[in-house]
Amino acid sequence: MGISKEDLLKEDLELVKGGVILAPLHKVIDISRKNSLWPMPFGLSCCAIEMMAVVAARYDLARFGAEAFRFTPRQCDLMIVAGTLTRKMAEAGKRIYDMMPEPKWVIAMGVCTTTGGMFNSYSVVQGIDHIIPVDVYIPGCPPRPDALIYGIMKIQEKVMKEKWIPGQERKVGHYRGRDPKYGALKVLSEGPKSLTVETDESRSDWRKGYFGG
Amino acid sequence: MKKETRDLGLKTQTLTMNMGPQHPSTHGVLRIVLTLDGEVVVGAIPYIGFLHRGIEKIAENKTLHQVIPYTDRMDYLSPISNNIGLCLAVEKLINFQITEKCRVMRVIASELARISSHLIWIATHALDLGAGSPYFYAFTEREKYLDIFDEMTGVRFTVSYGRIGGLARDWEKGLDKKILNLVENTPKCIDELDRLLTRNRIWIERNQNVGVISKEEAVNLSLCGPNLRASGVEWDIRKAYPYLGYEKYKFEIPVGENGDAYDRYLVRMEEMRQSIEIVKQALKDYDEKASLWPEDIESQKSFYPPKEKVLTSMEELIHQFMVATEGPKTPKYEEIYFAIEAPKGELGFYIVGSGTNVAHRLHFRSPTFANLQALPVMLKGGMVADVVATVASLDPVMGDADR
Amino acid sequence: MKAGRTGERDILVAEIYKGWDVDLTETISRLKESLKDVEFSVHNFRGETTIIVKNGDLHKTLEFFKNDGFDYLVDVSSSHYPERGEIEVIYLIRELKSRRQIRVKSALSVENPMVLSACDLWRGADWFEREVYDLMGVIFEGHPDLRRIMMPEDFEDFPLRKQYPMEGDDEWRNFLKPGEGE
Repeated sequence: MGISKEDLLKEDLELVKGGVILAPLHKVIDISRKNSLWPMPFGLSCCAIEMMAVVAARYDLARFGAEAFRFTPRQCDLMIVAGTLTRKMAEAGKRIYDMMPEPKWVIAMGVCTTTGGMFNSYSVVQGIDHIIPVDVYIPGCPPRPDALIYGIMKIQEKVMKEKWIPGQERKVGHYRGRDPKYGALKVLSEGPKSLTVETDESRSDWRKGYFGG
Repeated sequence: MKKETRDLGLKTQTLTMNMGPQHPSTHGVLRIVLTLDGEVVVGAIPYIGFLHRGIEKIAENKTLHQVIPYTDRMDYLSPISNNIGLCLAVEKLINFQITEKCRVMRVIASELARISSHLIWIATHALDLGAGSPYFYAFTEREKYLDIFDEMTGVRFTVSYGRIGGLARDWEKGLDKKILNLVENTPKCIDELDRLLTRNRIWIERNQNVGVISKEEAVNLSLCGPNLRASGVEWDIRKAYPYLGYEKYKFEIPVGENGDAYDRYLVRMEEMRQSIEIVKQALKDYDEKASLWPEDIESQKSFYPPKEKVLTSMEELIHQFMVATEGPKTPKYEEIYFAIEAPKGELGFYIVGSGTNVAHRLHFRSPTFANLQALPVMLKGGMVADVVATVASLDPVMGDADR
Repeated sequence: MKAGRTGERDILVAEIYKGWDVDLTETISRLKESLKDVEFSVHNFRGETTIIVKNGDLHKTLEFFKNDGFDYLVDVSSSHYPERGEIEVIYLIRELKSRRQIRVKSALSVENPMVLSACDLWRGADWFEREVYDLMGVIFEGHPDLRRIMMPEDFEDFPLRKQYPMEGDDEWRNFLKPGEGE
């Protein structure tokens, strides 16, 4: 559709008549990637509700081919970080990003995710780019659904420009962290503590009043 | 915790399973560690605090006017209720009388917020149990409410509509008719959801006798709001300690009997209908020509002058400066507690004055925090598939629980 | 009546409560009679009654109120007064039936903020007290499970104390400062 007749060589025209288009491989990959983004909704707070509104009937993200929200990071290629990221949650956020297969993109939705926003306090990470690379920032507290759709369209533009084919080193988005593997979050290098599940034995005395021992 | 079955010589072991903090059905960043015996939940430990942003600490460092936007982000499904709750609490502390028009507008705004909040709850509750279509119906209806908020406050979602002594702005001409038109049409949507779910075999099977909590336990565990009422406790702040003139309006408090997820569903559905009735009655009291702000000079020292006047007249500019720097003077080390019936339950504000316009201590008694506490009791003995239904029926908002 | 058993909207209607000024003088005089060794002062402000007791008597007082019919714990909060060197722990309790509501508070020293837990009276006190412990550092003796609730387990400070800065002492312990490492 986007290919005009002038762009094609004569022999190409012949091929088109026969139902064949010649294009670089990365172009074909990019087009198919662009139109079937699978977002991972990393909904944390208020912005998550606007993200849900984008999927619902009025804004209808399906028009842009990105409505297939998957709740497991292993099936996704677009991470929408929607909401305030706290230090306690940062480990989970980093883990989810690491679980996603390449190629992957990240949208920082809202000012809390971008810079900490109005929450300049002891427990809030001042911008998710301290932990994971970000491709598109969307301002607003929270951004209107239209803004999120625009952000997704920007990601689609970026996908088209990327010319990435598997096996190559991929350029990631803006990243303020020091260590590319673990990010600026030093706790992660020691192994996450608070996400470890306690076994039954270690908490056998837990809350006797509730469960009758 | 090992059990031995002698007949077969089999040994069974309990399994510890992690759910959350990133999980589609935990309504945010709640984490539950479940101990399972087969498919039966024998223990559940909720972990919260993944969205703790320190709003209470921030509130001690900002003027009371500046705290209003932070309350939006607490229970972000019904920001208007939180704004108005904080303003009412501060007004109680500084002993301020609002005008009749402001009172009516606040009632209407907070009831609209209740309906829109409950619409999200039904959308997500149904979606968690696998029913996709109520999600779209409820969100479509909610968008109409957000349009009204857009027109009323200038923002569609986090509105910051409350102001100490009044509201951010007057309504545009004709907005009351639009609101009336909206609430008159909402029962159609509620009836549709009702027809889809209430007698639906799957819905009944998945909700009845799920997450049961008895009346005594609910009171003992400080449950609040619709969750407390579903257990059969007749308690509503609007009736018990009427604020904003709720005693003037005729409405009923739905009360359940069994304290299970199905009763909580019924209670909330009925609450939406009752809210519509309140809005209809309050709209009759709405007088477009009256003044939103008190006229006397002494009261005017507590609130910001209207923005259009600040930008055009010198006196108002000085007035704005004075309010911003000195603001409403809170009595030093005097404390008040004020609670409103937010959509999630009792939202309380404990404020200690400091002699200036900054609170010495501002503590929020948030409803979700109290409700989630009952989760281990509700989940114990149930099936693992019912965890989702129980959590959804509590209607948690983690921004509210963690603050 | 089986609410909802048949799938019909069949919901009871609560009685309408009338009036909202509840007289507490009787309750307080009863408190004076039954707990003779407890010294307390009563403070009234904006129609709310506060009972101020010594640290050691707090649990005793709460127990009296629980037996007096206060079945609902509304809130537990705390407040730090650095100039007095004290942390106040505030219990707000209520009887749902009569709508009596009273606030009981006690001041603890900052150096040794210890108080008996009210978890044995109201189970709802569990998380409220954990929050006070987490953010203010008050230790509740006899609490079944006193762990941090809001902050991570490895966090060491108590953020709601006045000397703790809003941005956090340790906030950048794990993160780079703005501009660094870009």
